[in-house]
Parts: sequence; C-alpha cells; structure tokens
Amino acid sequence: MEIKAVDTRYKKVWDEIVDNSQNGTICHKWEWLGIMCKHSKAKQAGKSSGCRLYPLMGFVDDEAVAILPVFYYKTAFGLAFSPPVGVGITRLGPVLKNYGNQRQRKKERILEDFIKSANRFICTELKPSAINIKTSPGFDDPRPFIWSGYEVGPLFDYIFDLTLGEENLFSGIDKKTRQNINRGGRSGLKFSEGGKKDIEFIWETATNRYAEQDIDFSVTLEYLQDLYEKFPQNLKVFTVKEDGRIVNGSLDICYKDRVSLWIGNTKIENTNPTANDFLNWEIIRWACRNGYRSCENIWANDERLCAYKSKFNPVLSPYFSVEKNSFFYSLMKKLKYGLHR
Amino acid sequence: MKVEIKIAGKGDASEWDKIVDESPHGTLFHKWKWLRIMEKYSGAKLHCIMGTKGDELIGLYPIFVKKKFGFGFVFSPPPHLSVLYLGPVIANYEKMKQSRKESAFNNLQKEFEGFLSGNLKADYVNIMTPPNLMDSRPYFWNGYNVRLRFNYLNCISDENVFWSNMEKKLRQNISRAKREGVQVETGGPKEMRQIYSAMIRRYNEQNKRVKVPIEYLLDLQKEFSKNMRIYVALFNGEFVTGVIDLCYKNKISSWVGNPKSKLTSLNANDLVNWTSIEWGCKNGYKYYETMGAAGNERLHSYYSKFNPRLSVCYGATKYSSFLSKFFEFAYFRIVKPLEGGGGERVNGN
Repeated sequence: MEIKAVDTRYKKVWDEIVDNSQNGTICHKWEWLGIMCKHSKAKQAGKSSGCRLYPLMGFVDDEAVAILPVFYYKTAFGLAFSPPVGVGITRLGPVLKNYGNQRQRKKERILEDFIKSANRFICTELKPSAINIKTSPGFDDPRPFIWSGYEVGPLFDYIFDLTLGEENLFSGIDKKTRQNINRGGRSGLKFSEGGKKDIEFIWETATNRYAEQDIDFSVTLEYLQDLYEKFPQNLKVFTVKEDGRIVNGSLDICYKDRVSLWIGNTKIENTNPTANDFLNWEIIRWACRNGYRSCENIWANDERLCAYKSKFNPVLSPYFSVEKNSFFYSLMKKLKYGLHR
Repeated sequence: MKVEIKIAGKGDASEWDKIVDESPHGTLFHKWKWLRIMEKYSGAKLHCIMGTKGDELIGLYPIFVKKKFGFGFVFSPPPHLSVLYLGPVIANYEKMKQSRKESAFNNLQKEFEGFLSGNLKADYVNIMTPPNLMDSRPYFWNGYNVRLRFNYLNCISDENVFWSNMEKKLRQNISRAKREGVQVETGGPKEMRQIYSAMIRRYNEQNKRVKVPIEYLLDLQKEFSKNMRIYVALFNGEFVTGVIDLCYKNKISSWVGNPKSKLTSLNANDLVNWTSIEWGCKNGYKYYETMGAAGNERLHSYYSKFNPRLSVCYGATKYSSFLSKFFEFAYFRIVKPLEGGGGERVNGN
C-alpha cells in the first residue's frame, strides 16, 4: 500500500471516507483537523511548541482506502500524536473506507497493510521518540498495531442506546438521580438550546473546575469559537437557566446518528445542586426527540467520575490507546510516573 | 456493607458451579472439577475465592498460587494447561444496572487485592479475564498493566448464512476434502491420544515443546465427556488430523488440535472444523469460538476465512516490586525460551 501525506486537493476524498466509515468522527474531518492543528501546543521541559499535521492517506491502485491524521511536534523529543494534545479531544486514529461492510478476511488484509505502511511512514519520515494514538469508537481491531511493536491498552466511554426510548432510559437511571432530575424541574430549572454567546460561560466554568483540581486544561476559548463557527450543524450549545440566568451548560457534538457529550456540565459551587443531573438528562431527552440513535458520554476511565456517570445506566463503549516510545522517552516517563506500570 | 473474602471448600462446590452456570463470565474452565484437575497438574495451590456481601454472593475468583525462589506468584489461569482465560465471575451481572455492575466488580477487586497482598504476600499477579467481561478498569485502577487478548467468535445460529459467508476458497476446500474421501469421526480417549501425538510432532517441527500433559487431558475427558467433542479426520482409514472442542452453554470452543497434517494435498483441518460447526448449528449452539489464534500474527488469517468477529479479553499483570518485575522478565523472556517456549497457543496448524 502506498502512503502519502496529502494536501487540500484531497479534502473531499478525505471527508468522504470519514463520513462513510463506521469509526469516522467529526474530529477526523479535514477542517476540524486544521483548527486543532492551529490551536494545539505540546509542553515539554517548560517550552511549548506547535505542531504540524500529516494527513496520511493509504492508496491501493490509486484508490484511497484509509486515513490517519498525525500531529507532529518538534520538541526535545519528537512526538507523533493522534489526537493532538490540549484540544479536548480524546480519540482520533485511523479510519478505513467501508470498514463495517467487509468480510473479516478482507478487512484484516487492508487494515494490516495500512497500519504497517503508516507505521513505516511515521518511523522513517518523522522519526519521533514517542508515537501515541487513541483510536475512535467503532475501530475494533488493534492487533496490527501490536504486531508492529506498539503497546495497546483498553480505554472506555459510556454510551446510551437511544432506541430504547425515553421512558426506558429514564427508568434505568438510579433512583436518587431520577429524584434529582425531577426536583430540578420542579425548582424551576429550564433547559434550552443556547448559542455562541454561551460558550464563554461553559469554557470559563470548565477551566475553573479543572484549576480547582489541579488538572491542566489548555483548551482555549478561541478554539471552541473557531470550531463553532465552522461546524454550526454539528456543535450544539445546551444551557440550564434559573430565573432567566444561565447556571450550567455544555458544548456537545452531533454527528451521524450520535450525540456526544463533550465540554461543560461542570460541577459549580453555590448553584442549584440538581443542575448537573437535570442537564445531563435533558440532553439525552433532546437527542431522543431529535432522532438520534445513541448518546455518548465521553471518557469513562476515571474512577471518581465513573461513579457519577454510571448512575445514568449507560453501557461501556471500548476504544484503544496505542503507544510506541523510544528507550529514552519511556525511561523519562518511568522516572516521572514511577516504575511499577 | 463491605465485601468479604472467603475461601470456598468442598461443601461450596454446587453453589460455585451454579454461579458459573448463570453468569455470562462463567466458562467451563471455571467449573469446580475443572479447577481441581488443573490444580493437580499445575504444581500450584488452588484458592477458590468467593466474595460475599452479607448473605449475598458477589463473585468468584479462582486463583493458583505458587512460591518460587522466594517470590509469590498468583495466576488465573495457571500457565501451560491450555487454558487461555479464567479470572473473575461476577454473580447476577446481566440483571444489574451499570452502577451496580461497577460497584460489584470494583468492590470485589479491592477486597481481592487486600487478600493478595495481606494473606498471600503476592509479588506477581497475572489474571486473564473471561469473555463477556468488557470492563477492565478495576485492574487499571488497582495498578495493573492491562493488555488485550483475542479470540475469534463466529455466530452459527444459521447454518446456510454461515456457509455462504465463509471464503469461497474455504468452501471449496471443504467440499473437495469430502469428495476425495476424507472422513470425520468423533472419538474418545484413544483419538485424544492420536491428536496429542500429532501436536507433539508438529511442535517438534517448529522446535517447540508441548507442555500440556496428556494425563491432564485424559482426566478432563473422563470428567467432562459430555462437554467435550473429539473429532478426527481419517484418510484411507489412517489418522490425518483432529481437534478437541468444548461445548458449554450456547458456545462451541475449538480448543486443542488442528495440527498441520502430513496430507498436504487436501485440507482436512477445514473439514474437521466445518463438521464441528455443522454439528453445532444442528444442535442449537449459537457461537463457535476459535481460542487463541486470533492474537497470533502467523495463524490468524487461516481462521479469519470463516468470517468470524473479534472477541477481546484482557491480560492484567501486577508486580509488587521492581525486583519481581525483573524476575518475571528473566523467567518468561530468558529461561522459558531456552526451555523451548510454547504452551501459549493451543491451536497448531
């Protein structure tokens, strides 16, 4: 298979693969990649550096069959990441054309060929010290990465099957959370779709919350606004208001038949304590009523957060982390994070 | 209320097996008698751990404990007995809501960790989880390194659909083997020995050693004859190849066998596997599983001709200290390869 880092002339072909594959996400779209690239910065040894996007495309007999967007950072150690860092995206990785509709043998053949070739391209052209890929949901076969020398581990999101219907979904929720939702409605919380002006509130509350917990949240407001302008159909702002004043909100992604809960719905001190549960449920309900088939609650890998998120009775949706590090890079990581892992 | 750990004794055998039968995580390898037979040949001590909360049984955790060079090793399953998964069985899992599922597994795992470090002084723990247990996070949250393990799973509820979804070449191989006179028969201990010898021959060709003792397989055959189907292929009355399959719940698992045969002109293994699948379809089984081969770069494409889907399990390992990590590295990467390796994969070819 031939691998090329393609340019804008291939934008249409690229986006078609994303739209028609079972694991193409909105973040794989050509323009979204460009916006991420513009805003992503990797920090290492106190220095921050921008990245360069390598949109890798695999061709068989001149036909494009697969893509892998790679972001390269020229830091002290060269880093090749997919997704890029600091832009609030947890999954990206490879997408194969028509992946869901093929027989196993054919799927394997194309996938193995593509991963092997892409790996060769990254290792010989970019020569990074660390490669870090997180696959998107629906990509179900990480074996070719293992066979190309990567370490692969499982990661999870939560997902709701909206075809179960509003009533069944509601009765599945833990009793206390259901009571919270009802109490929220009775106490006068109002759910509505918001707009660009509300993004600042969502971003600010998220930033504050992360700062309280000493977590590095480097997503910038300009980045979110850039995305919102370019993808008005796919980004939705939802708000909860009390007495006409916004008390919580979230910025979420609608793509294909799925709604993905993304940024916001933060825990905010000194506001109506039922607002989080209320907002969460109202978005699920909104998704049901607007014909979506599934709703994702991204990131189910943090023990404390999972205890909260699981109360809504979602199911687990797996994806994979794929890593290959040079000897010195892994030594540095081990010294930083301890030797046991 | 806290989850408590108790070691099951003989008197708990029927309750243990009941949970194994009911839970989606329970496999034939979890059955009380299978565990006891494994203990006999593993050189390790079996602890059948039950996690309880008040009167309620939360889950099972069979583990094998071995002391070597002053280090405590804990395995589930034990190595070299052709068992690729074991690990925990959570009771009533399917009926629970997500938050209960998570708290049951998390709490069981936490108590289990306490037992390992407190009572067993384990230095190295290796758990390979059973199919249908998608959640691997409790391992991650308890400091394990989690890797993926793969099996192939075919849905066989409709024989015609299955047949037409297979690769054309495979269908031709099967028809030709039949036409040219390869016969497939079921057998017992005698046929089991034949398959075993063929495996040894095939492994020798690859400079590997079969580590599974034949007596272990024979013991299992005696105890689990109802769950075991042994197929052999004959050509002109002579043994060509064979396979030992396990039948449990709604699934047939292709377990030990399928060595590459000397009869190279005909593909007897394809016919053997097809015969097993065909029997499974006719007898109401829903799934046909090929154990192990999917994770093997060299072997997987042979089995993907049946158009299976991938089924993921986990291998979770944990070290109590840097020293035990080094020891494990030395044992599995240096000592074992010199002994001839093998043991991991049970399907030959």
